[in-house]
Amino acid sequence: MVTQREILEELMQLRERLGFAIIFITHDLSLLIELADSIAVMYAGRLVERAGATELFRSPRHPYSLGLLNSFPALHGERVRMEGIPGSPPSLTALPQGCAFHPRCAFALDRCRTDTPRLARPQREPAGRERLAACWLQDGRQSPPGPLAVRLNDDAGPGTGPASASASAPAPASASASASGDTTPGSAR
Amino acid sequence: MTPTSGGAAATDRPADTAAPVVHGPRRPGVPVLEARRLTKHFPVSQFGPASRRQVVHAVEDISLALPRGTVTAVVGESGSGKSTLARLLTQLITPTSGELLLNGELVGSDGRSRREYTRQVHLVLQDPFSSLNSVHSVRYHLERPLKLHRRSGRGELTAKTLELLERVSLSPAADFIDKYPHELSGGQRQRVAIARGLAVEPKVLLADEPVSMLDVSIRLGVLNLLDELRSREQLAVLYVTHDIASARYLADTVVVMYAGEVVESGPAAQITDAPAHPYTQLLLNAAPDPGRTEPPVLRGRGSPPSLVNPPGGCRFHPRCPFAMAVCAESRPPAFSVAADQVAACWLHRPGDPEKNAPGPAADTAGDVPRAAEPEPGPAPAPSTNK
Repeated sequence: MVTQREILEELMQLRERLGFAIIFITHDLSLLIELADSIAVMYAGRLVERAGATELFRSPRHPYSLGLLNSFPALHGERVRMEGIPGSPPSLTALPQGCAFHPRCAFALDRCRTDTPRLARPQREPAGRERLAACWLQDGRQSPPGPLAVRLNDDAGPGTGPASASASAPAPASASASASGDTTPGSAR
Repeated sequence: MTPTSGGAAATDRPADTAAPVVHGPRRPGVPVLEARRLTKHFPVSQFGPASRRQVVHAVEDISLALPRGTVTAVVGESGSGKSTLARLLTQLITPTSGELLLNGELVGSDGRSRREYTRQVHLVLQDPFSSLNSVHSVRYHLERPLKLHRRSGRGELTAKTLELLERVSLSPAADFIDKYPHELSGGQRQRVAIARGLAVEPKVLLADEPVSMLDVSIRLGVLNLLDELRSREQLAVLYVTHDIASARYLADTVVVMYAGEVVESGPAAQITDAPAHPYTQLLLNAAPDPGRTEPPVLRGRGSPPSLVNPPGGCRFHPRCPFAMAVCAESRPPAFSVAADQVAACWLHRPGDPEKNAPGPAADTAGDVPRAAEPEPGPAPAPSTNK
């Protein structure tokens, strides 16, 4: 853990000094939220959500992102039971029809079983926020379930939250990142 | 800061005659498994004159009690000795000194007591991709311990196996019993490995990094399974991990190890909310935390020391931002810092006027007498222990 943190610090210092951009590929979402400016979440070969790191942490729009956030126990606060995500990642040779996440999704609609959702701007997203999600729940025909809906407390636009303030600081470069679980349970490790 | 030689390391131990501090959850009654002053030194080489033979001080004088119905987490970095400790507890390796007590009775070394021991204490390994044999079915893996320990008659083998699969939430069990490991996902394989561990009705489950090889989305499921085994079946679980957040989530007690020694132990939430030892504070600052708004300040960078020639006194002193003269001279015993929480650190010596226990984020380095700079001069050689 200490070595990991030291390597990350080194990377971030190099980024400041040399001004390059970083694409950070990891399954460790709790680390990304700390480090990245924006996060793209992948599932079964597709991008399912894209958002600023703080925005994603405060209010995810895709059930898979929500499940991932619910897979990392917190270092502070009350100890609560967390459930992770039921089931396991699909085989990439036999992807489920429709949305690949639907067999594991607690909010799946009929439509999710047949049609693959496109990565699009959630219909109820307030103007001025750059967010994308590939989920039928966000197509505006229904209110998304509570944890995936636009809420008052995440209505803070970019630049007001403590972490998003640093994200929009005049850094020469930004860090993008992509989080996903391993989707190939049978792959060699 | 001069490293003591292997043989002299034992002379600077003031607590040698006193009763050792036993780490682990406090529960009334006799713990299922107890380790007393376990020490393991691995020889580096068997050749050459005896005086020049070196040893790796992998585990040093650890006393641990595992009561039934509890989870004890052992947290540490690579090379901290946490896996060696788990292997000592399985009797896969023999300790250099120290003893094991099962249900309060000293564990013998003859074949019979060994069989009884392996029936009650089982190990779950890190990597379910290599701990299951890919040419054998799930059925074979689960029937094997049942046969070896003669736990059931021929007729009930299948029924027992199905029951085991249900216990680890692989249901319907009939769908899984004749599958091969390659047909299962990582989480399912780890559940089979845990079921194999449960086959002989053990009282103690030793889980060595049981989720670190699994997809993040299914780790919680396996941790919750261990939680259920604790509450439903009253197992004593030892959870070895490098992930302090998951230790906080699952465990009753967290034991923090550094360079083969326990540096701090106590109730899980207490350890993470109010860490007393500078190393625990470092670990927590290095851990990912989405709630963090500022980049963490690491105090005590560097890597674990060589365990062939560990630093004298407190093994953390070359890295410690609060190190004092005494830290290089003698090994700190475990001082009580809060209810059920102990820290092996001279900063917590009771009645010490200079006591200046650093808070998790407090910047008190300037106030504490220091024997070593925060940045260790000669970087200790990284340990070769995985």
